[in-house]
Amino acid sequence: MMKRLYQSSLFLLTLLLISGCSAEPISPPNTPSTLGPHGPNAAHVAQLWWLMLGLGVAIFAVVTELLAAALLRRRRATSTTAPESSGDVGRRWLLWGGIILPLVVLTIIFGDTIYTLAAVEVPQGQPAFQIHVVARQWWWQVDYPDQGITTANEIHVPVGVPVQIQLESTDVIHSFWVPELAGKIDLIPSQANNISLQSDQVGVYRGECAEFCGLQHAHMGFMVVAQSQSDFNTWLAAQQRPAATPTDSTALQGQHVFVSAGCVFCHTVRGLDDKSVDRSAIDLGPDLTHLSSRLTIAGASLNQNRGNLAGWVVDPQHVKPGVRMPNQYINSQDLQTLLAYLATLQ
Amino acid sequence: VSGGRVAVGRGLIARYGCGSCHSIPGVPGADAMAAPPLDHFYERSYIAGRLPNTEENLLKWLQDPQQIEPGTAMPNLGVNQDEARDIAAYLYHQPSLSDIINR
Repeated sequence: MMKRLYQSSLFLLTLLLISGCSAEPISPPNTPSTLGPHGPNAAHVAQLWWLMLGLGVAIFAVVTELLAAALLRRRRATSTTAPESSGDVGRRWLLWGGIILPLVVLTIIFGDTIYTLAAVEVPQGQPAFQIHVVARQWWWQVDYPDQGITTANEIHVPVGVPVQIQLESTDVIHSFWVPELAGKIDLIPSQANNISLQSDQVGVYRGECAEFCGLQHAHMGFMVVAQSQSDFNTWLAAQQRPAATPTDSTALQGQHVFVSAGCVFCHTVRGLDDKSVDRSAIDLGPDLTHLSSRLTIAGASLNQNRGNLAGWVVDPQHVKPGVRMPNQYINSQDLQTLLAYLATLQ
Repeated sequence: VSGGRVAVGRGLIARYGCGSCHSIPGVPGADAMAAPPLDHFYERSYIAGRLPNTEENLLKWLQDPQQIEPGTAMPNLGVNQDEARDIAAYLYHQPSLSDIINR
């Protein structure tokens, strides 16, 4: 019996370990940790966590010790005499263990929580520049209103300075979470929230939706790309440019496919002016003006490359069942030219 | 496949996004239905319904499907000869008899 129990728990443990490392690492590794902070706000949150862990472990150790002492204490040889402990001792245990100790511990945690909340608060006043993030089922629209840039699932920020992000939702409640850079905050329809984040190191940090928001909640990720100020400026300048009309004949054919297959009804490509399209409806899907400059597609669930784009374009319903994008029934030749066109959207 | 490394091939298959169209056992996330499944690939008679399934043909196909079958749905992914060798090694990699018995 014991052996069976041992074997099955070993099996379960192995299963857990295997399932933990089965996901193919999308660049960067898709398991960011709050305990590996890369910015001051995340560092505050991590520090609070360690404090709570420390106190929790200390209390657990004391309770375990008391329990062990009670269990191991020898029974009295005879139980005829009344127990020597009077009500006073018991009351003292209750007073110290039940009231004073919890009061001290909770006060410490409460104080540090208030301190952490104040530390990660969004600073007053106008931010240096604006970033608006709008959560959609199941992707992130990212706007830089001052620069007239709209992109998706990728937020570029300069390194070493606090960046303020305004968060909204157009459908249901989502939650914005970049574990290595800051805590979480909800995105609520018809209410704008703000979060401040700062990265102390150049790098790419994965973010996730942290509030269940429907069928593809698990595939609603994004990337925060922290760059040096000059790289960031270069990126801004590149993103501001509209897409050029392709010079290559295959890509030009692909542009026709993009229009005739109806991609334009949901996706904007700035610079692609098609008068037949009702512009008012064009924000159902991500802006694709600079699609090929992004690291990922499909809400950061796939790396951005030609193979993944091909599979995503023809069969998104298999990659992300329930996603708003319908499967495309285009012939294989058109798929090739379309991929050539998408590759020009640098 | 001479010189092909099975484990490297598996990584390349994930990196090139093959799994967004093909279902390929052993490659995480490669469970798509858009293109033919690649399980038991070593038992298939033809590649792309056209070329006899030989190592040489597979290497050609992986590097330049558009030249062999112009307009086919499979895009040229920029796979080079060495990478094709590794990918082919993975696709032809078959479980040994003891693997099957112990399954």
